[in-house]
Amino acid sequence: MRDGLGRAQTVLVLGGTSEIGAAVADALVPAGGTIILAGRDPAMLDTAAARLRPGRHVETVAYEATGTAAATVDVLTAAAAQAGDLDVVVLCVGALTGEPSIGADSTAAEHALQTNMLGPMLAVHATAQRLRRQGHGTLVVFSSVSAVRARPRLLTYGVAKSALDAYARHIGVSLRGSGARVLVVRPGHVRTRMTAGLAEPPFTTTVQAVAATVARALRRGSAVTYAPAMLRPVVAGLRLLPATIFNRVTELKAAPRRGGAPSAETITEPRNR
Amino acid sequence: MLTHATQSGSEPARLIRGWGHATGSHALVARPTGSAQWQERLAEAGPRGLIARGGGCSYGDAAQNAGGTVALTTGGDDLTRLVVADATVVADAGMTLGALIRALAPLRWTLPVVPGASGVTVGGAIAADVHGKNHVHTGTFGAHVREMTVLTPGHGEVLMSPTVNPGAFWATVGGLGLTGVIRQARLELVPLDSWLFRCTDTIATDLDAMLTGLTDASQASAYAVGWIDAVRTGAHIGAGVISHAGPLMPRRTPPHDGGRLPAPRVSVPMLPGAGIGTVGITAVANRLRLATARVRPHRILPLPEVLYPMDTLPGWPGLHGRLGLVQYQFVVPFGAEDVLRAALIHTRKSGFSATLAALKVFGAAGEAPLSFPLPGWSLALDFPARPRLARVLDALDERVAAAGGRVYLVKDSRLRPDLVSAMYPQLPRWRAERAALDPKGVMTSDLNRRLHLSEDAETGHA
Repeated sequence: MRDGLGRAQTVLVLGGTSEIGAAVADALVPAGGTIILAGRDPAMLDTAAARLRPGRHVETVAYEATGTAAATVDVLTAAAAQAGDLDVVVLCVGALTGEPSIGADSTAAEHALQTNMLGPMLAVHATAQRLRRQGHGTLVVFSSVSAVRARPRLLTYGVAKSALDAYARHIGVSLRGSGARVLVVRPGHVRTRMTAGLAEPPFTTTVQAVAATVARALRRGSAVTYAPAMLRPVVAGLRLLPATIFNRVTELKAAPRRGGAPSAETITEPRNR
Repeated sequence: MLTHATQSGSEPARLIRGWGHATGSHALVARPTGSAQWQERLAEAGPRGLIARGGGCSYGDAAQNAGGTVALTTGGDDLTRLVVADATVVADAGMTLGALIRALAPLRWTLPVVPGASGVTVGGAIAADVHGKNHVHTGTFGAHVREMTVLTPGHGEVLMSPTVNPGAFWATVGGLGLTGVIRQARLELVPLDSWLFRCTDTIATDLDAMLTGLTDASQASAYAVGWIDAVRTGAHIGAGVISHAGPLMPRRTPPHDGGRLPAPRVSVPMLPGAGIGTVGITAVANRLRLATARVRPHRILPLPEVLYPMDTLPGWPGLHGRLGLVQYQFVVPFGAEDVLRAALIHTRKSGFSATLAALKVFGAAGEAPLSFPLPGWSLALDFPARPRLARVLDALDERVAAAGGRVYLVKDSRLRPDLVSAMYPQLPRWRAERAALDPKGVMTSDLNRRLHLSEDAETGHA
């Protein structure tokens, strides 16, 4: 149960190898609480678990996010059997992939949709059901600023996040009155393994800052939050631009990262599951 | 899209909050009447279980049950059914103590123990094993329960008393509603000498004066409580007012008919932010309190105003703003006065000052395994529920536990579960009794889940 000061006792991270997911759990759970990291790669889960602050019970569970809804049901059941009620479930599954060019094999596009849209949407559905039965708890869904208006260079990713975002928000509305809630988080560019080596656009933030934003949004009971918060008005403005201008503005070459990282021409995996 | 089917039909879940408004969760609300309906409710409670809720005076989540059923016992203040015989009264669990005392007053009887709020029900007073400002003389509420009928999930209606089913009886006293639904109780009465009380305020200039003065006042008067000005620091830490009261003796005034309630105060809107919970505002309010004690140290007040100070503050949680209010009440044995001092110093140093700080002296502990009082000092501190408070109170918990003290569970909304068994060493005994009365873990609450009081709560019953 969350306590009177808003602290979560048990947090489950779906996509437990994600740096953002682990950081959110790290920020939310006080000493004596439980963090459950669910993900595909056991070695990476152990690494992620080792990075958490001491004093909490940390468990890891095998989980394939791009699988069926049943996979999520199973992991929720296992987590609840271990730790009781789940106060917060963080869903941060996805992979930032470069836009596959037209004419190329469609496998890449299919894969991107599976990872960023279909898998997470099924996980939202299964988790919402569980939290509603429980009568409390918040599902934190990691969307992206790209969900608001997809950029040509990240079209598939943006469209996938956009679908996930809309789905999660409406599930949140349908949960009203049940005690369970959904918080959609739209981060901008965050410094992680996933974005290492990419040029840093304005409003680039850190995982710790994102975790703090999520903690604040949970306290306030928000439905949607941006990280950093400044992105909300920026995105609202960008949204209104005519397509020609929007495309030019968003495709402006961002300043290269300090230390001379490679350019963003080839965006590839590291993904979080 | 998900549909809104709930576990037992189409009733929508409702948000149920603690009195402090810092906790809250959604549950189905039922108001069964009669034994048959209560039994049906227990039998039909789904996997998220059921908890009985009386006056809703618990500060925290003791009478909340997320995703389950919250069954109300109140609403049937049926005074015509009051039976007074043999210096006892048989009362329904849902009757408030305020109503009971008003009904008893014309008969020249009253209850030996009442808590600080008149809205507490008979069932709630037993389940929390409440205490009053006369604990030194009378012990807790549970010590004056002659017998009670409890509807248990395991064995149906069970008659319990200190001699019949004593194990079950003492597990239900202070058992936070987790052994079953208390339906009716026979309570011991004491003669009501006077409806009017002579109250005296004495000023204490530091903690030592407060402790000595309160000890003397507790022995000399029927009721005694210390009010501490938690804003003060340095040499004046623990300064405040010692209030003691006794009936206007002997029978110089006839017992009041008890018909009149204290005039309802203006209801207070919820204030923004932390409301009055800032050091500056508290400091001003405390000055006024001290000035009142200086100007009018002697007063004659009717019984409700003496016994139910919380009734005069109906909007108290709202005054603490949107975040609500948490109360931190703990007891430490005599000799651990340094913990009282530390509580005042550390909260103050962390930028908090309790908006209300009440000190009491406790006498001998009762028999109930989860009963709160033990011989020593009880300090209750009210704070706006700011997240930063967590670290301060967590650190205090460690000191309280190390000193052999404990936190009051029915008022709690933030204790760490791993400290409960240290604070309540008889927890295993209570668990065994509860497991016998409720083998399937039907009775449960958010407090139970949060603190893992029952064993089934440890693995998340749902």
